[in-house]
Amino acid sequence: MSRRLPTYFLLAASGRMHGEAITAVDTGLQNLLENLRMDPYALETTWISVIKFSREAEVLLPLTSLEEVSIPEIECPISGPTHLGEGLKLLCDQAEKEVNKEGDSRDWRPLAFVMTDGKASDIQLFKTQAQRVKSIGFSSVIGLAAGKKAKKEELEEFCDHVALLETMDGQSLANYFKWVSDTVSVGSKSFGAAPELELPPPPAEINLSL
Amino acid sequence: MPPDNIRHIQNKQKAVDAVKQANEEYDEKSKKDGDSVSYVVPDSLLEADVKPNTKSIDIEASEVAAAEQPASKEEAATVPEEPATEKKATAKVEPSEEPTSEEESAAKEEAALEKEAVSDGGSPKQAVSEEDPLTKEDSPAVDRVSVAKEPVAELELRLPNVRQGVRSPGLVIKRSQKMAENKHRWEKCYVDPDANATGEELGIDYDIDSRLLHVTPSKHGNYIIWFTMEDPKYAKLKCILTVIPDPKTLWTASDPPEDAPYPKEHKDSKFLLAGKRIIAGASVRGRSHARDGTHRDDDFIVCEIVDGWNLMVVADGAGSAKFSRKGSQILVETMHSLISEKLGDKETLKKLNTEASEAIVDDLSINRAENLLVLGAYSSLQKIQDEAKSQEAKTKDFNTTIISCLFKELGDKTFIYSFCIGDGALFVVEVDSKKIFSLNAADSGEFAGQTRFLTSPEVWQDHGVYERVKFATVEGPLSIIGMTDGVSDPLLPDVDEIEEYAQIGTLLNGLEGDDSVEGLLDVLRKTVEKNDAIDLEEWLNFYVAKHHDDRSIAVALDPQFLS
Repeated sequence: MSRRLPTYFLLAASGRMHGEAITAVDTGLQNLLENLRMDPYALETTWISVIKFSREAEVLLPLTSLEEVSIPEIECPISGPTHLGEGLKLLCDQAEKEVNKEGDSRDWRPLAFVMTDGKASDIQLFKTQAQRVKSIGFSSVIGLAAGKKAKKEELEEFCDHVALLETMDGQSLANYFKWVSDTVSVGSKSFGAAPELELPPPPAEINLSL
Repeated sequence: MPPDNIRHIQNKQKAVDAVKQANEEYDEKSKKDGDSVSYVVPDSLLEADVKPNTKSIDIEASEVAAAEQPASKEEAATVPEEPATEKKATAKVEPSEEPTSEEESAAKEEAALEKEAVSDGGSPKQAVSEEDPLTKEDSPAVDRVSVAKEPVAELELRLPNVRQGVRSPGLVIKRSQKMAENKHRWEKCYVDPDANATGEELGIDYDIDSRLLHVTPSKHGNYIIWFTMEDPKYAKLKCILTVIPDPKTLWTASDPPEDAPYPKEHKDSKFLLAGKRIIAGASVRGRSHARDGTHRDDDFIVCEIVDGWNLMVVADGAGSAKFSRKGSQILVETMHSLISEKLGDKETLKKLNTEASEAIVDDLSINRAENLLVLGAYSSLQKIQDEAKSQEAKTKDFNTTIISCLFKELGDKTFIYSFCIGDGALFVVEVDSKKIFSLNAADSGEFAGQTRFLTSPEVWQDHGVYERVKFATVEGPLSIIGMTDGVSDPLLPDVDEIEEYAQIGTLLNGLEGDDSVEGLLDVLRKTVEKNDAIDLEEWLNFYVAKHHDDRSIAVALDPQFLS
């Protein structure tokens, strides 16, 4: 068994994130990589993919091993809608393509972290794709509703856990990503042995709903 | 008259089916009761169409733009800095030259990755500034070369990640087309003075003529390696390199708190000779628990009971059960004490001997319900329940698997009972013919990591538990080998049962390569020589990536197995 732990990051890069917020996300991802690389379980098993979405969704990084990965900087348009539906669709497409479900190179059930900062403006697509996410077989989908405009109810439709972050400042986002890397570490250690992923305690700025 | 001299496991198929059915029924039931979402798994998987992340900037256009910038040093000093416009250069990987994902540095050196240095867009850069730490001396006036005049492009490039402690694949540091035309080369190569590593620590090996860079970094981290022309004012290339830690160095070890309940030694082993038969067992704490500072959850026992009857048990305490180390310990100790007690009774011993000899002559009246291994396991379960109560804990906090075997030689034949719950492996190898057969039923759940335990209720309901008792008679010299999944996962193929001698090749003969593993046969030979199982215990520390569980093994061998 190959024992890969595929870990997907679906990140909003809407106009609202332009500036400090997206820079904090970039830094957060970099730190996440460095933390995970210091964890031998994660280093041996975790594969990362980064997908961004604003008006369209784009794969910034297809599923790549933690060892090989260099995360490109995420660019934000100056303004733009939050098409979470497009984002989820691409996430599902990628997971279906990249995750091995059978045979000798069967992967562990993948993890997904979805960060959004606003209400999904492509409602129809969002509704269908939110349902589809549940059928992919993620071991856990963790949502982050960042900022005041984010709608936690939307995330609750397809996430097992939703973290709420009031303000999108550098420190809070940094703490969020540290928590994410702890979660991935736990996942890479227990990988599927327990039916549910046990989350480590979240940082102070984050409230867990669900 | 059966052609083989091995009387195969009686009702093997029936036993396997019974266990499988019991498992399935239980799974069905828990699915209905649980709140799990049922998913539809898509039938087809498209082949992954993964391309490296590439973006390239047209080199021609930007070269021309750079060439049109003002040239002299004084002018450069007055040009305002525009740090924000520096674009990162891109790394373009030639897919056709990219080998498979295997990190064979030899193979990669054959297909050296080519990196194209792409120049910045037309932004005027101060290639030489007062603060530039690299050119402190007064440089002569601008080199009148036809490619670009001052200020010159400062190029940036991200190299592919390399691994700490190994020599990286060769990276060709390419020149721009104009540079090549004018026969300019990257002459100097050095680590950024601000980095926390020297060129030596990174093991920089740059050959100017071939433009091939190798690094053998002894430290992990992020580093910048500069390349300059002979005249550094002309062009500078900044290479960003990330060195990934060697996972082996991340496996630290620490001890559990002194006041933690149920302490256990991190390792243990035993060696004994029962007549001419070699019996040995060992158990060690895995890297995973060592790093977490938790206990060894595995346990084992190998011993002679009486009158040629010998017992072997290995037990794997469940990782998720907080007192599983005690569970596995109670199990092996109780199996020993109960079976010793029963066989200490003359009547029982006589009955068992009769049963064995009758089975050998094909009179198969084995009474599974009175089987000592089952009774031993059941008695262990009861002890665990008592212990749990006394600690105000749950029985499942003591979860453990069991791989057990009770055997005796009768003339030139060996009679074997076995009883197993959970994963791991137990098999018999006939030395002369190299025939091999398994004695444990596959108990793996739907997804990896799931298994049954001594304390799983579904094991004991109905009479399914008796189907787990297997017995076999084997003529001629043989070996019995049992192990927890900490050993079987890395060294045996991922099959329900071991059925062919070829399948234990890796276990017996070892693995070559960067992380080589010694073969069990060699280890056992040393064990016999020393009359001590310490080498077996040491061997259990072998390194196989992704497999860091506790490990236990028990063997009973005919000496011919080792020759």
